[in-house]
Amino acid sequence: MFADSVKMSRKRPFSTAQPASTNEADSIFLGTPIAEADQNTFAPVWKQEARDERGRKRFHGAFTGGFSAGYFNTVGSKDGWTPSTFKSSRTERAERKALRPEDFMDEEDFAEQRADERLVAAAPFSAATSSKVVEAGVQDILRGAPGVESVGYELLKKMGWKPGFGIGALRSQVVAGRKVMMPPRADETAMSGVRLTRKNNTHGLGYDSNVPSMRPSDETGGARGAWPAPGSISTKKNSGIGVGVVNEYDDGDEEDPYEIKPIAYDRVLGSKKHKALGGASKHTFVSKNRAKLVSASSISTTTTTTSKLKRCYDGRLPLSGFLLVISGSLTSSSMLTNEKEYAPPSIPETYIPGILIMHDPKTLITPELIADFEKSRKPSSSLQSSSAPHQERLSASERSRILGSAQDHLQGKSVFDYMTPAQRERLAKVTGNQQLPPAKSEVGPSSTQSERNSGERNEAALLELVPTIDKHQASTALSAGFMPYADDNEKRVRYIIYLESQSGTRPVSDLLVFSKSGDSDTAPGKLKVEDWMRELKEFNKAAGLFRPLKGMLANRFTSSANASTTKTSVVEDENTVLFHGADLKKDLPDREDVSAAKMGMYGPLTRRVSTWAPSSLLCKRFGVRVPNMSAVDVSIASAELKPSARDRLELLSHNKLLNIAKDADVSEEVTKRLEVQNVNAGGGSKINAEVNEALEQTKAPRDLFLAVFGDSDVEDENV
Amino acid sequence: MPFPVYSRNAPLKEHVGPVHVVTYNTTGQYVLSGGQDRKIILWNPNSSKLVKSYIAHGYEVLDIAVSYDNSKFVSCGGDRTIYLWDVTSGSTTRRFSGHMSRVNAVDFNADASVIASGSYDAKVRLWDTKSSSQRPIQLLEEAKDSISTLQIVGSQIITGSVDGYVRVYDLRMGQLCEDLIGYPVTSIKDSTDGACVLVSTLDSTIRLMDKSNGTMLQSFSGHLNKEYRIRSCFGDNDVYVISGSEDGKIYAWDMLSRRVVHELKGHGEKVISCVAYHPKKPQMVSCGIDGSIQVWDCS
Repeated sequence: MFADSVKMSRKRPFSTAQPASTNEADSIFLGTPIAEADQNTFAPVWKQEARDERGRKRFHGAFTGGFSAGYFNTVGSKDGWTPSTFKSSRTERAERKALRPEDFMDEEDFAEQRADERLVAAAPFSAATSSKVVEAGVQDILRGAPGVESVGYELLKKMGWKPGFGIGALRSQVVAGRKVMMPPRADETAMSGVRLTRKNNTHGLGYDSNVPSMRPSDETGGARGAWPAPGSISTKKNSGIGVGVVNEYDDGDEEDPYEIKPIAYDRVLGSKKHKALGGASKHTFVSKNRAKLVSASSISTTTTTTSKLKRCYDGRLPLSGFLLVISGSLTSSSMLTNEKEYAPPSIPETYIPGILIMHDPKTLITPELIADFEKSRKPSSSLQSSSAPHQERLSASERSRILGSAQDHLQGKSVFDYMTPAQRERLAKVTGNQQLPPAKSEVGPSSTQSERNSGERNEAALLELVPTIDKHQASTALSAGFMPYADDNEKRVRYIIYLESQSGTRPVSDLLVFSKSGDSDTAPGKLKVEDWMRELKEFNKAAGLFRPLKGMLANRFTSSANASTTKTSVVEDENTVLFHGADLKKDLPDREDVSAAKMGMYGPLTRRVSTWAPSSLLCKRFGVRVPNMSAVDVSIASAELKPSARDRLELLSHNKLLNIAKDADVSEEVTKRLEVQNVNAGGGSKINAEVNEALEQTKAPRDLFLAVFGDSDVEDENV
Repeated sequence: MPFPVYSRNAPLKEHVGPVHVVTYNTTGQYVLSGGQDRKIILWNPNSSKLVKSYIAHGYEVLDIAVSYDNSKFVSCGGDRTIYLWDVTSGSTTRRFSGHMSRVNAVDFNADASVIASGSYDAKVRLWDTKSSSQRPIQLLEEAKDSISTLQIVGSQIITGSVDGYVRVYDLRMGQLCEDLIGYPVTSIKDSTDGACVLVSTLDSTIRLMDKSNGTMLQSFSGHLNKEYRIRSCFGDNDVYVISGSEDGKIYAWDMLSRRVVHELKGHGEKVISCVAYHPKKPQMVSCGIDGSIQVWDCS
């Protein structure tokens, strides 16, 4: 009975209390329907947080799953469940928090407190004390914060002052019948005159109403101070905030508001008043002599002012030794400065102002030149107005000649210079104009290849076409260490020649060796001109690329001793350390030290001595003094200083042989050798011979060698 | 003194793979050897017993040098790093890196304050052991090719390079002497009196060069040395010149006569990479690429 009529939960919102369809006309509605405004609002969870009037969270996670173990709002923190940092350990005990009255107050108490608050001025600033002039005593000035002795206090005490005394010089007073030097009394000090009055105006610091210039120009009330009077701001419509540039031509003349007028240096504030006094006056130092002169002159010229003693603007007389200078009078500027007047330079009579001749400095400006120029400038007839263009009598080439500028190749040349007479005739026939310039069959500078014929002119032209590189760049490319075109030696040679020509070590004409065309096409090693040009351009680009390695990169690479880079010098095996050597003889055939080494002629030819600077730390570690690099020929020095090792070896061998002789197996040979050696050692062991011996292939060194080392087996030599 | 020709004990075979370097300490009591297996072994030559092994290298060990007080030694190798070891503790005190390729040779100066290292990258770096700086004190860059060997003698640094030059850097004089030998130099040894230098080159010749004027005083040949770095040394106060060879024999020449006085076979007829002579008594130790190390004595 109920079921069909009472519908409690409806998915459809109740828009009105009326049933949506006629089917439910007989149903009963319980409860108030949800207001229209609230029905469709779904607030996000974070908006639905419940907070009290102080912003603290309520319900403590009852609907959001908060875990508090009952500690919400009990430990004095906004979140409720995070206690304020309370730490107490055996070593560090927790401090007892002092409770303030605020801890016990609730909302109503706080409200009451706020109501009772009033904002008043502090005692020295309060209105009650404004009229009083506080007499500044020493104590007041020295008084710092209440209860604290100010620094001034302490300083004074250190200097011997005692509280109760005043400040000032010691005065002699009669105390107890004797004259004694006493400090002044506390109430009569040097600072008695200080008045602490309240400032109730808006003047700036240092404002003195006695000074006329400080007074506002429009006297609308002295107390007003610096604020401008209501009428003083200009009310011109074309200037002012909010108004644009209004061009009113009411004045007649065009007044440009943006016009930058020249700065007037003689404007003075409040100048209207001071003109009455006689213009701006300032203190200027004048020496005594000048002063006499000036005063004498001023007396003679300006009689009116002599009667009055000149005063400065504040009414005071100028300081002694100073003279008041009034601008505009004779006493200003020239009289006071020591400068003499110099006449301007005398202008030569031929000078015509306005001519600016830019010319080649090599050509002299002669009067004829000027006359020429003048002629060209002068108008042909006086009837012509200045604005009409001049009839140019001179052509461009004539003008350039006059000016002395470099004759450019193409300027001054016309097409007819390059034409043949036959061509000219044809032109004349076609156009009907016989007044053509004569044809000169010249050859231009940039003629095509077909016209080119062998000759000096062409070579020069060719050389002009060589792409240039900066000299420095060319020399760095040369020293790059790596030359490209490793596979084509001729090309590499040409590249090197190109670089050398660009760096200046070779004449550029060397490049032409390869450029001859024509019948030398068939000759091997010669290039046609186009190829030559192409190759040169390639070299130009390559020079930019192949530069010597710098810095860190250079450390990663070393070039091997021999020229060819394709051969590797060391081959490594897994198990052992192999050292394959490059064959120096094959790769560096021209080196004389290499050939000397191969022949076994070791000595000055194979030796290279250079200076080497050990670092100071290294010397320190070795216990050696840092050597000074003087420009001494080290090789000679060493040869002279050190005794020849040969001699030492002689001695050595002598000793050894003696030792051996002492042993059991002494052979006849050995003793013989000993004798021979003795003779030699005693004979004379000259040192200098080595230098020559290495060069000469004479028997003498051999003999010596044999004698020293006692080589009995000649066949053993397989050096 | 007679030449040690007898191999009393069996060769030491602790190393796996070629042994690149073998050296005595300053007293001759111990021998240090380093090889392809990245190990450095300290052992007693008289008993042929292994004392200690030092393992830290990442790549093969190419050279070892012992300090004057025998308390530390320095080693270098394929991992481009120089290791400074403490002998007793067996650990690396310091490591120096900076070379860009394998380090072929290393040596101390007289008081072990500077280490010189020469590398395949053609540079010699001089390291400071006293400070904790990571950068070398100085860099010697004159060589054009791999530095194969070097030695510090007094205030001179002698380097030999594959570019065929022997360079003597004299700190006292502030000068560099470059002697062109003409062939890749694989081994350098200074004579006891400091007047000459024994230079092994890849043309199967050993030359005795005069340091003062660069002339050749003597040359020794008969051995084979065309490909491998084979070290040579003096023996018995510079009486003998000893070198390994690629034909599996140790050659000993009389320095004055340049005659081959001994040819000792060993190491399985393989390349003998290094020989070292005892500082005091007639004893010699050699190593080869078969991994064996042999001690040679007299009688």
